[in-house]
Amino acid sequence: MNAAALHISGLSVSYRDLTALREVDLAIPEGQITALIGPSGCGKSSFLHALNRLTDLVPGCRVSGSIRLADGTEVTDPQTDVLALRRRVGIVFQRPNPFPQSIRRNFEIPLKEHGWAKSDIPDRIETVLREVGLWKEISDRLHQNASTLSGGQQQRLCLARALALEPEVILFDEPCSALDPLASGVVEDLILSLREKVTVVIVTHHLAQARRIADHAAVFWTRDGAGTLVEQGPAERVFSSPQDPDAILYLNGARG
Amino acid sequence: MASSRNISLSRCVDRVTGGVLALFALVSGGTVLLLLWNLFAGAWPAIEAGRLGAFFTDAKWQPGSQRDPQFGMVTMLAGSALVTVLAVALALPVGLASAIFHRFYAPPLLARWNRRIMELLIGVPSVIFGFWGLMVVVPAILRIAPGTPGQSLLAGGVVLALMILPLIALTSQAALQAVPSSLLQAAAGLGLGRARTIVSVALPAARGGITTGVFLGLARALGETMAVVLVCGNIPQIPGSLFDPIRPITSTIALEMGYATASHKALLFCAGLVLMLCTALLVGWISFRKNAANPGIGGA
Ligand SMILES: Nc1ncnc2c1ncn2[C@@H]1O[C@H](COP(=O)(O)OP(=O)(O)OP(=O)(O)O)[C@@H](O)[C@H]1O
Ligand SMILES: [Mg+2]
Repeated sequence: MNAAALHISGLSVSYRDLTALREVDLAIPEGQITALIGPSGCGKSSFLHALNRLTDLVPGCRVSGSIRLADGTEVTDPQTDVLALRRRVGIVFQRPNPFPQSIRRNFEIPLKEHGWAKSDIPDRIETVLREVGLWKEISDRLHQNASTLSGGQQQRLCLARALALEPEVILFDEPCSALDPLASGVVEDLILSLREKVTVVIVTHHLAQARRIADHAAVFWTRDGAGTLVEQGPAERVFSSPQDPDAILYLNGARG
Repeated sequence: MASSRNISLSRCVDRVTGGVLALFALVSGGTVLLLLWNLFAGAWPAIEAGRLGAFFTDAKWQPGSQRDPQFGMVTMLAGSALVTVLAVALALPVGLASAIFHRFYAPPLLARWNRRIMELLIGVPSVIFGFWGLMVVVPAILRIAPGTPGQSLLAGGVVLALMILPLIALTSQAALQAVPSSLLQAAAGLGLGRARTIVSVALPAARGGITTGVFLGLARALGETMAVVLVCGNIPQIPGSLFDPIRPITSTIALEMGYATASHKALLFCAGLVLMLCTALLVGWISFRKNAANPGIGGA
C-alpha cells in the first residue's frame, strides 16, 4: 500500500458538551480515493472539517488527537499555519458555493492570497478549467457572474477553484447530493480522474457511488451517543465482507 | 346548517377586516398624495408667474427685496448637496468600519454594546445634535481655523455625519450579517485570511445592502433641518471652503416660512417641492435597486 497522506490517530471532535466523534484512528492512503460512509449525524462532516481545521470556525468546537500530513506537519497544532494548511488540504462542499462575482475573480481571489504571480493566473485558470471540463463551455464568459452557471457547472467550478491551489488532499463533503443524476455522474467521473494526482477523501450517502469510485472505505457509526469508526479497509473488502454487525446491515441497505 | 352559517359568518368577518385594512392603506397612501397636492397648490402661484426659471438663473436669494427681488435657489441647492455629500463621505468609512468590527472582530459582548449604542444614537432628537454641534463642533472648528465664523459647511457636515452614522452602520451590519455562511466557509476552505475574506468576499456580497444604507443616509441628511439651522451659519452662498457658512434648502424654508408674504411663500413651497422630489428620487432609487438585486445574493 502507498504511504499515508494523512495519518489520523485518537481524533475526537466535540461541540460544547456533545461529543460528535470519538477516538478515530485512520490512515488515508496517498493518491487514492477514500470514501467515508455512515448514517446521518455520525460525525462524517465533523471528521472532514477537522482535517483542514474548518472546525476552527465553529465556536465551542474542540478537536483533540493527532492528524499528520505526509511531511509530518501536525494539523491540530495551534502553531500550524492554518491558511497554508488549507491550501494543501482543499475542500468541496455539498452545495456549490462560488463567490457571486465573476468566474475569473473566483480564481483570482485565492490565487493572489497564496502568492501566485498575477501573470501566471490566466494560464492557471485555463489549466484547471480544462481539467474539470469547463473550459470549452465557459472560456468566453469568464467575466460573467459565477452564480449564472448551472448547479453542476458551479460544483465543477468549485472543484477547479480548489484544484487551482495545487492541494495535496481534496476533501469532498457529499459533493453530488445537490445535483441531478447527470451532473452528479460528471462530478463523479472528475473525482475518479483525480486518482493518483491528489489524495481524495469523500463523504457520500450514495453507497453505489462509494462502491464505484473508492479504493479505501471507512464506515462511521454512532455508538454511545458519539460517532466512531467501526470498519475500514480496502473498499472491495469492506463492501464484500464487512465485519462489524452494524456495518453489515448498513451496507446491505437494511439500516441507517 | 350550523356549520354553513359559521362559514358564512367567518367569510363576512374576513370581508369586513379586509375592507377596514384597505381603508387604512388608502388613508396612508392618500395622505402622501394630499401632501404632494398641498405642496403643489402652494407652489402654483410662483409656477404660474414663471418664477421657476428664476430659481436657476438669478444669482441671489432676496425674495423680500423691494428694489431688486431675486429668486436664485442655486446657492441653497448647492448648500444642501454639499453638506449632504460631506456628511455621507464622513459617515461611510466610520460606519463601515464599525460594521466590519462588529461582524468580524468584536467579541460578542462588545459587539452587542456597539449595536446598542448605534440604536441609541438613532433615537437622539436632531435638536440635541444641533446643540452638540454648537457647543462642541463649532468651537473646535474655531480653534482649528481662527477667524472663520465657525458655523459652516464643515460643522453641518460633521453634525449630519454623526446623525446618519448609526443608519449606515446598522444597515451595513445587517448586510454583512446576511452574507451567506456558505460563502465564508468557501473563503475559509480556500485558506483566505480574515482581511482578504472581508475585502474580497464579504464586502462585495454585502454591497447592495451597504448602498441602501448610503442612500438612506443621503435622504435623511438632505431632509434634516433642525441641526442644520443651528450650525451651518445660514448665509445663502456658494461656499469657497469648508469653513464658509452655507444655507441648505431646509433651513431656508424653516427660517422664512414664519414671516413670508404670499408670493414669497409660494417660492418656499416650490423649494419644498424640489426637496421632496430629490428625496423621492433617492427613495425610488433604493426600491428600484432592491427589486433589481438578485434575491439571495448580496442585495439588501
Ligand atoms: N456546528 C455544530 N454545532 C453543534 N453541533 C454540531 C455542529 N455540527 C455538527 N454537530 C453535531 O455533531 C454530530 C455530527 O454531525 P456531522 O455533521 O459531523 O454528521 P454527519 O455524519 O456529517 O451527518 P450528515 O450525514 O447528516 O451530514 C451531530 O450530532 C450534529 O448534531
Ligand atoms: Mg455531513
